[in-house]
Amino acid sequence: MSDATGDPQRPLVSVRDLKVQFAVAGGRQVVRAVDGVSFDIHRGETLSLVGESGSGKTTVGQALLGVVPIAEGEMRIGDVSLPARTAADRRRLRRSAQMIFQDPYSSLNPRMRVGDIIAEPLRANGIGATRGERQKRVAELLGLVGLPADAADLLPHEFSGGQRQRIGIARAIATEPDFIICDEPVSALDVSIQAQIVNLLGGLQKRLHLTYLFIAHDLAVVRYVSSRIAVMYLGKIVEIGTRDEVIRNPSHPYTQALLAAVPGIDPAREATRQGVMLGGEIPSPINPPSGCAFHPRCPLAEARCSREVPRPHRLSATHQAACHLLADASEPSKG
Amino acid sequence: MTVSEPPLLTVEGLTTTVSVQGRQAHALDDVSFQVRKGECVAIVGESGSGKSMTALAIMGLLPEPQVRATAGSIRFDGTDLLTLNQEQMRAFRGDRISMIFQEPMTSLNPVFTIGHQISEPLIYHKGLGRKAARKKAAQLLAQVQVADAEHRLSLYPHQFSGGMRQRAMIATGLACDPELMIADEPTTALDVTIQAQILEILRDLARGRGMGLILITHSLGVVARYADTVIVMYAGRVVESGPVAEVFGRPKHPYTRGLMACVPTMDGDLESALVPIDGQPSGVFDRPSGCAFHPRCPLAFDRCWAETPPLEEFRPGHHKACWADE
Ligand SMILES: Nc1ncnc2c1ncn2[C@@H]1O[C@H](COP(=O)(O)OP(=O)(O)OP(=O)(O)O)[C@@H](O)[C@H]1O
Ligand SMILES: Nc1ncnc2c1ncn2[C@@H]1O[C@H](COP(=O)(O)OP(=O)(O)OP(=O)(O)O)[C@@H](O)[C@H]1O
Ligand SMILES: [Mg+2]
Ligand SMILES: [Mg+2]
Repeated sequence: MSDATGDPQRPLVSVRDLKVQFAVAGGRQVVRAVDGVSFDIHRGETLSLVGESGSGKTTVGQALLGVVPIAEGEMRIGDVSLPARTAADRRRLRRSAQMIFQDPYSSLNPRMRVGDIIAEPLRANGIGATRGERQKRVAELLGLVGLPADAADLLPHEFSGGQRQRIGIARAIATEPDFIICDEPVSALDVSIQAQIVNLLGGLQKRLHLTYLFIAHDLAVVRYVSSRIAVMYLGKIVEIGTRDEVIRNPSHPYTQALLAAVPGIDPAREATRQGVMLGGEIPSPINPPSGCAFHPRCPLAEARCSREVPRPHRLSATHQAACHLLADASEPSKG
Repeated sequence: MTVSEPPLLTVEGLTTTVSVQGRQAHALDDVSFQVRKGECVAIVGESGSGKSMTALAIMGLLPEPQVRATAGSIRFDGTDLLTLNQEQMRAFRGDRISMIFQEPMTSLNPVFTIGHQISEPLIYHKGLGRKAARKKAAQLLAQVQVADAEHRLSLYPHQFSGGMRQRAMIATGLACDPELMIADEPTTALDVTIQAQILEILRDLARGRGMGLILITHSLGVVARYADTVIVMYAGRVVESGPVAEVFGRPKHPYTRGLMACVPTMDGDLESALVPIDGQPSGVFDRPSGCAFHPRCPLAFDRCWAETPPLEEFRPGHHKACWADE
């Protein structure tokens, strides 16, 4: 699907002030799962969303796919504004945005043959007039993800976890989407299989000019796949920047703590590392802490951090972090 | 920890036989390693390599009769655990040897409070009364850094977060001050931040109390940061073992090298793509002949499919089982 406006500078995906809320406890309480998130994703790039469990990563992806209701905010994929209003828009969206899931076991229907699993989005989107045409396309897709053509006749349980993830990827790229949301696509896989899938996703991105939103826990994987990285904490983006900005120059104390927690594989370096260990756990989004939601765990928190919500602070044209201390540090140098 | 002291645990030639529908195969084949007091020994390897089965064999919890230990010995403080009957083994389990399982939700009982579950081994093994056990349970929970421990003893597992459940598991495992603890992927499902907190607690306990720790993990990073010794398993056999700095600094087995080349790291070169190991491990019943790694091995030659290489010490403390590059 090509962008009707044709402006190459225009991001493919754009999210502004997105809020998603869930009513719980019989409607008496509200989970602010996503609480004011904004980002753009340009064509051909990978934006990764990282953060601890419960920070709202999956919910952002679900909002983009229209499977959870949006409380506030604006979103756009290509030239379709979300939520899609017309049937034609919904159809275009179904074709142009796809998802790859974490669990290669539960995300494939165990009773359907692999060929039918992959052909389903083709049929649903009216691609390939005849069964024969669809079969040809399925064989092509299997080849693209590195599976033999006769895989089409088998059932999912006849495949290993890594092979099932390939089937899920084949299904996701079947409709030639522009945009794919990958929700923890390698977390459940063994390291050697993980490397195969990371490489496959990278290869397909180049070949098919795909744009990814990559949701992941593992910062080392994220480092390999990302163009840019957004760090979420309790429903908010606390830092966003290019891969190198966020990894080499992490500016929010939460990003710094996340990075320090990732062990490297050089034992000499690990032995001498004096990690700033992050204590405690992510609080409940039902009753988030006042001010900066990170303040109860932040080693640098000051009095005002519990009172005022920090605004995103611009560190470069592409790098922002929301921390009161950053605003202070750069105050004198402001021109 | 001195080298002259006898090891706490010596596993030698451990072999288990799996029987399914009349077919038999060795799931573990000639596994040998030692654990000393205060030492953290990590076991790594891909899914199905036999890590959990090694742990279950030590605990006397193999799912008999499908899986039985058919050769070798597991000596713990002078006793071969494989010769004990179930009742004798129960006296060790949870007392002198304890284990934290891969999935805390399945090993914590949902109908009992956390306090009840931490108290249980204290009552069973140490003969403590309910009240004394509960007091000790609160201390244990506080020790694994659960805030407000006293109050939380009355909560049920589902009222705990994943990280807190894992801590409660550790507290239960530590209750009787074990000499050996086995942690089977204690942090795989947790955030890196919580993983770091929990592994730090375990390592400090090992060092502080002289407890032997067997840490089973997929993560080479966890091994590098927390373990003293590493055992690399492939298809039920130990293919390389030794001090972590030595094995990761000079990996010898092509499988270990392969693992190291395919994990993304925070400092690796981003220009070169990750190098996956070709293919995938085989199941217990279709293990290749000779060295089971040979179909995936870049260095394999004819001897590798004919003969199984033994685990040999080729540098002090550093063992490998590989025919290449003698
Ligand atoms: N349908 C729902 N009803 C109520 N609460 C929900 C629902 N979906 C998500 N939440 C809550 O919203 C918050 C964000 O959840 P989300 O699944 O987006 O987190 P995540 O960052 O993807 O976490 P993980 O890393 O564990 O996948 C959590 O507190 C979660 O419990
Ligand atoms: N009860 C059983 N019956 C038959 N085979 C079994 C049984 N339990 C384990 N196995 C097999 O024994 C081998 C070793 O399994 P084990 O659970 O020890 O692997 P693991 O290294 O712990 O893997 P993971 O990383 O997935 O936990 C596997 O091939 C497994 O399929
Ligand atoms: Mg999620
Ligand atoms: Mg296991």
